Amino acid sequence: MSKEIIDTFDDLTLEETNKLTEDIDTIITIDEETKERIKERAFEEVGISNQKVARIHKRKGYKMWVKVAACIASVFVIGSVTVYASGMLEGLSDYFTGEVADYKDKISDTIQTASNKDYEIAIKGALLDENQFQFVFMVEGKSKKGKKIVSEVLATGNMFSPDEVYATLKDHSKKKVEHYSISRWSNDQVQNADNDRSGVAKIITDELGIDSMAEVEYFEFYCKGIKLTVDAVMTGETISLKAEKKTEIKDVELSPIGFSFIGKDIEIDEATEDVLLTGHKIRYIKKDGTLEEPQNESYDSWDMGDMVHVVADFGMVIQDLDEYKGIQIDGVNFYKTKN
Amino acid sequence: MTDQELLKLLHEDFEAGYVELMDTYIGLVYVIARSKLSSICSEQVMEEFVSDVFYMFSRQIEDIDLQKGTIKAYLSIIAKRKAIRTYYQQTKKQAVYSIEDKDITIALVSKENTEQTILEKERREELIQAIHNLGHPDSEIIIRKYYYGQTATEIGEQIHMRPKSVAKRSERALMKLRKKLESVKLGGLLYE
Repeated sequence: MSKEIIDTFDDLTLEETNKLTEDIDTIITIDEETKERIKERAFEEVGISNQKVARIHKRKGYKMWVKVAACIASVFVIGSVTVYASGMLEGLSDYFTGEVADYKDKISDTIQTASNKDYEIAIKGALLDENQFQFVFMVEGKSKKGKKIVSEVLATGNMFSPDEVYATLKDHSKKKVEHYSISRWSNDQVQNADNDRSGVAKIITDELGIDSMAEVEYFEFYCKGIKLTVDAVMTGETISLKAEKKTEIKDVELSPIGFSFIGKDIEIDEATEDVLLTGHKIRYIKKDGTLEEPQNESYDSWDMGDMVHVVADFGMVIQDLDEYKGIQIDGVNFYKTKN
Repeated sequence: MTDQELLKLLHEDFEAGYVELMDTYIGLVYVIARSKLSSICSEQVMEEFVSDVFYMFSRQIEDIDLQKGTIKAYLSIIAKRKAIRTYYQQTKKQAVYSIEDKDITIALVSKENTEQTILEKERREELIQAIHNLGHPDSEIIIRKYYYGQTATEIGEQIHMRPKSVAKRSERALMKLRKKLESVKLGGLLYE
């Protein structure tokens, strides 16, 4: 019987193929090495250079950008809501290093966890500057069924993420977040490592079509009927930096969780350690004037014609800005305008 | 991205569209290639095959009609037909499809309306309907296993089921199909 089915499938027309496969999710993964080899050849065949591919991926926000992904099936229970205050700080400490304790007072204390009999979902920490919103989120299996599903999803390497994310602005309008990037996804750093899946994700202003995260009142996360709300509370001040000389780079800003600027869209020959994926060379200027190289930053960028808006985080580090004078971008120094 | 959006992108910014096309469907084309060619071709040949399929698709963008089929369906059928032809070429058996690459699109949509082909079409449709009537997840298991050639482990990862459960369900689904299609002729073959 199976041979007959295979032979029949080999002879399907386009319409029949369409009908047969219409309900099948297209996501079929292969190993990254094989994928890259095939893509390299394919792009070469049609005359697309590596530089162009990198630019296209950058424009898509390809590096770790994901569409809002499906969460586990669960039943919405409105009753089981607890308020976490100190839990937020603990969640942050699992992922962030540096000046975490300094921001305890500035971090929102209205974080919620919500649960039903099978799962618990939480926002365990949130950091916000004028350009980006970083949040730590978690899904944990509670019942036997929930734990089983969680462990099965973990085994596939899939990630849990909210079904939908919305930002309600201070003018009462509501915007849906179509993309957010996931910076870290690991169960190595949290307790119950075999049962929960936590990660850090980021939303930037361009994704919402706003100039500043200060316009946001709160964020809402929906996961199969479970809703979580996070107030948008600034984590430290976002400082504008001034260039030491005339330059095309503008709107350079620095905060304890990252930096941003608008720069020229640069073609890159290859991604090196010295150069951001955006093609820009970054150094931090310490207070003694010495230069420090970036470490584990992650970057997102947004096309603005010939220019790009680059929003970077410090790679899960909350910086003490008193230790730095400013940033050097492509050899041009930008300094804090105040201490 | 919807098929309409992707096709529009391919027309308006081919390079960006091509990158998106590959990012989305490379796994799909690869598994189809693997299902037909893994026993007779090296990994390198299979990888070349996959990139050739995308190249073929790119040359036929003007002929793509989303009313007739999704991009997924187009790529699937191009991959399958080319894989079968390659298989026969490699094994030096008589080619079932004596068409050149450029004719694949024509072959996708047109078949002579002889009585035989009409009968065969009806039986293919019966099989497709019978598979859909199995319901989820059995229908998906059958399609992934026999159309895409995925292993039980791969299928299990996609539908969140253990490989053993996939294998068992596949076996039972085949029995159901056999009963359903009992004494139906298809191309001279009997489902018994």
